[in-house]
Amino acid sequence: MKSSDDSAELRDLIARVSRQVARRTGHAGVRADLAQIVAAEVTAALAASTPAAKARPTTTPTPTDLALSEAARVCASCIEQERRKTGRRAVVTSTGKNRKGIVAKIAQAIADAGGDILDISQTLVADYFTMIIIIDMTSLEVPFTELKTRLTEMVRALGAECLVMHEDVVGALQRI
Amino acid sequence: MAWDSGEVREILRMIENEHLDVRAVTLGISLRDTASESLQRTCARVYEKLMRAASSLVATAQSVEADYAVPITNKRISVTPMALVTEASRAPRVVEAAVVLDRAAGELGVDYIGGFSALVEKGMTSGDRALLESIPEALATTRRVCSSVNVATTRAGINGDAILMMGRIIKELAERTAAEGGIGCAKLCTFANIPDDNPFVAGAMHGVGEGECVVNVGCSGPGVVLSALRRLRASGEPMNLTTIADTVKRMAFKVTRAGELIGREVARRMSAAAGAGTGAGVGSGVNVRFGIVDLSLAPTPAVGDSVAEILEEMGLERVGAPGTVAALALLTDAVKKGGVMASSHVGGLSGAFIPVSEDARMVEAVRVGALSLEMLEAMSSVCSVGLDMVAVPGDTSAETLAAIVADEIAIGVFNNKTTAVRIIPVPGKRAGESVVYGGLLGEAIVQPVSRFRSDGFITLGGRIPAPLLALRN
Repeated sequence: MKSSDDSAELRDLIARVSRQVARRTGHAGVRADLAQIVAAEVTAALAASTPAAKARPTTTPTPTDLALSEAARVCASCIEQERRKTGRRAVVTSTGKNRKGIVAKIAQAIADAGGDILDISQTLVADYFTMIIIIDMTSLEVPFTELKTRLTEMVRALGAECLVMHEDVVGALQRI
Repeated sequence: MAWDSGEVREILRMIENEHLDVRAVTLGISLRDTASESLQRTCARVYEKLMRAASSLVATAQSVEADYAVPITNKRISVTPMALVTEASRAPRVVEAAVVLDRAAGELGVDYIGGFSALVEKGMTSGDRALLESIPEALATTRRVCSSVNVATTRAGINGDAILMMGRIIKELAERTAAEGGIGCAKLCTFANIPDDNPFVAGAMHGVGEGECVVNVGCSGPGVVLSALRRLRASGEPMNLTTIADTVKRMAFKVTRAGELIGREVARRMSAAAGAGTGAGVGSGVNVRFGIVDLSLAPTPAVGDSVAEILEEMGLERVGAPGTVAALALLTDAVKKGGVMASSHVGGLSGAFIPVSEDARMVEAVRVGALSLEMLEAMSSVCSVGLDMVAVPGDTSAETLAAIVADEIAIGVFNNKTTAVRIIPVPGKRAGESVVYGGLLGEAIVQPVSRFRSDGFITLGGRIPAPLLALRN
């Protein structure tokens, strides 16, 4: 590694690759140690392809080694960040007889808890509705169980049914 | 939307209408480090270990249940076969060990604890004998303790002496719990080829080759499979043996995925709660690993949650009619094929359970005379377990019970599979009468037993040599 500029460039590149990996695998319930695995792989691959690494026997860490381990750390943290984003989603399903304002009330309750609605769909057959909402829970201000209790009780008070679950369940059952 | 609304609705329907649940999250705990020269000290160590290792089991299972919305019906514990643990004490009776298991299970809030067990397929040590002789009193005086005895393996052959002993134990246990219809026998299984990682009671135990602490999961889901077959019939698509097998496979995949997800999450949270993975290991907390998913379809007495109903949906007028074994073979095989791809580690019994009293349609089939003991035996050659939760007349002799066990065990040994017997000679009841156990155990109709005797054969003693199948090296 010639200068700190090169090192910064490398770190940036690894960070971008890591994000891509995390995005692609994010929905499938990524294994917890993925970050470490990718980091280790990247370090190994880079070390093997660096002429200095080949020439030099082992022992004392060189500036190159330090830059590489720093890059691997960046890689791990990027994956972890992306994993958190994609892994913290809930699916809210509500079914029942149609009532005025029910969507607004559910949306308000989600917003009050700090949840972010990513997607919403509703189907209406005769007078019965099924609503599915995907919530991003990254910025949730209350525990998941609290959100669940609030939504379930609120919807039940309106005479409908509500089921709140981690998105992982849908992913596990519906995707190979 | 990331998910098609149909996909989400399907899961909603499976959970709310079709009884999709995880039947059992079973924490296997090794008790190998609790043996001592005094039974009293062993019991104290067992209690301490259980309370430490399983302290977060129920709370964790409940939190996972809440987050994922998939019900977990039972939380259980399985332990190292107790005969191996108590043997060093040289105590002639080890009822005390069952009492301590029961006390720990009660305080931990688990439904059952399995592993008051012995492995005697080839012979019996004095420790094994002490445990076997303690079974009637142990199970009659405890509530949550389950016992299993492995009397045969394909590799070792069949221990005839142990089988005769089991006939007498079953008989005595039924009499000791006569006031409750012999319910003690519902907690005792006699096995051939017992698995080391079975999460289902009464046969759950933590095998000697297992790790310190392992979460094993038993799926359920007959209701999901049944509804899928009904939809197939209603869809107008061709319904034949192939499409039935395909439909079962798809559903088994989904049921198993739910089990795998729940099991892994319980193990992860328990480990996190104990601070494991920080180098602390088992000493301070508990390093809990995920073990296996047991693919079995396990019925409950609830309407629509029945294995028998699936077989009847395939076109049998009643379960037990000719064709039942073929239909069950198709079902069991499809469950395995669908499930095996859904899980990284499959184990336990994996197949389909036919516990008669626990399956409302099976009870009905016995009531109308469609399902005989002999048909159940034949069915057990192609499904998970064996003669399970079968009630027979109270005056059935210990020798006849042992002979029934021997037949079932032979099916397992000579077909290289697990089989087991959980049979209840209901005191004071005759064939055709019924006995209600309640809860998941359901209701049993007493089934007639052959009036011809087998005493001469079953009291011969010795071992049936291992079959040719055992010589695989």
